Amino acid sequence: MRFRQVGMSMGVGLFLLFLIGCESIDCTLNNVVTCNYAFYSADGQQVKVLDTLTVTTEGSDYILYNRGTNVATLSMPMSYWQEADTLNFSFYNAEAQATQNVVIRVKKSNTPHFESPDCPTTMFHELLSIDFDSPTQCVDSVVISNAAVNYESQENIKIYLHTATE
Amino acid sequence: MNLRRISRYIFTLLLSSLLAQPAIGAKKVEKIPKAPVFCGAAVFADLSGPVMKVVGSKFDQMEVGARLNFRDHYFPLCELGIGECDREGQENSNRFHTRAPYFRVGMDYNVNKKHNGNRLMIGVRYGFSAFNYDFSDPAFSDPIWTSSAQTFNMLNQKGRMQWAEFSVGCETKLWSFIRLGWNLRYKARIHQSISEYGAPYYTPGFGKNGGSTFGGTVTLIFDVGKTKKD
Repeated sequence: MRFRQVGMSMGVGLFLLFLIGCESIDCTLNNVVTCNYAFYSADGQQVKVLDTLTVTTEGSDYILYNRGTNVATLSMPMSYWQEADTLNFSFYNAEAQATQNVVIRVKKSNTPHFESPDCPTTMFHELLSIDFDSPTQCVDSVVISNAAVNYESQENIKIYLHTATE
Repeated sequence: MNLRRISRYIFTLLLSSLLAQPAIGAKKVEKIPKAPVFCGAAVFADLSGPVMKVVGSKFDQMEVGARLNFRDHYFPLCELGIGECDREGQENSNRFHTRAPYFRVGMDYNVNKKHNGNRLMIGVRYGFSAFNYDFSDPAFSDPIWTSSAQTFNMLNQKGRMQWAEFSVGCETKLWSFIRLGWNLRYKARIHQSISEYGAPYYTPGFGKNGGSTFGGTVTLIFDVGKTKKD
């Protein structure tokens, strides 16, 4: 009788422990870290860029964004280990057949981030400062609106434009 | 995810059935002799940890403990163990490693009013662990700015966790002073401090890191010192 009690008790216990031992992989669905830009008019209204916009990196000449039109927001990757990223924004006006180039430099800190062995490792950033060159005065100003660059896809940088908006 | 739901359902069902047991057979009113105030002490060891280690589980623990027995109902106890996890990602070469001690203090309460050697236990525990953990990703590289590649190797990250456990289980007498039991535990995190680079995948004594988790032990218990007949 006692052995039956022990056997049943252990059987139930081991079965439940087996169920508890099962697990699933819980990685964040949105696991892409990007720095998010948004375009504004000089008076603070969010606008779309009518020109054809291309964004490249300085140093690697990698095209991050190619020939976009009606662009209101942009999501750009950041370098993992560099202290600052320099991006070239090219605004091409088809009617005038003219290109205006803007260089934006973002200084940042880099913090590696891991969730689990099963999930991809990522790099979080903290934006420290930003400056720009706009020889044609196409861009009025550039400001950091949220310094934390992580999974949360929030707007990080505001670009205030002078022209080419709707 | 479904298995976790099923296990929670079974856990709830089991808990309610165990708590309902004293009501069964309530027609017979027996006068149960009262147990002495101090009924002895016991030491115990968790058998599930070595089994987990042998079968190559993702994590395992070696755990021993001691408890006192008052009135055959109240069992203040402490548990000490070493938890270990050495895990590589299923679809990548990420690796997590930790090995550290943990301890718990708490009390079990025997719901069974009869002193027949069988015990239905419900309990509560406070757990604590301070540990170092390593995380590495040898394939971590910048896909765009490739010239600035570095390895991702975070060693000796410091972590601490405090948690509460609510348990239900049973035990029975095998022979003389030897008992066998098991219990299931719901664990809820109270507080944790982690590295700035990320939380540990596993916390010794707690299990897979998160706000809450389930666990359990299968224990071999040895009554020592002054013991009751049952």
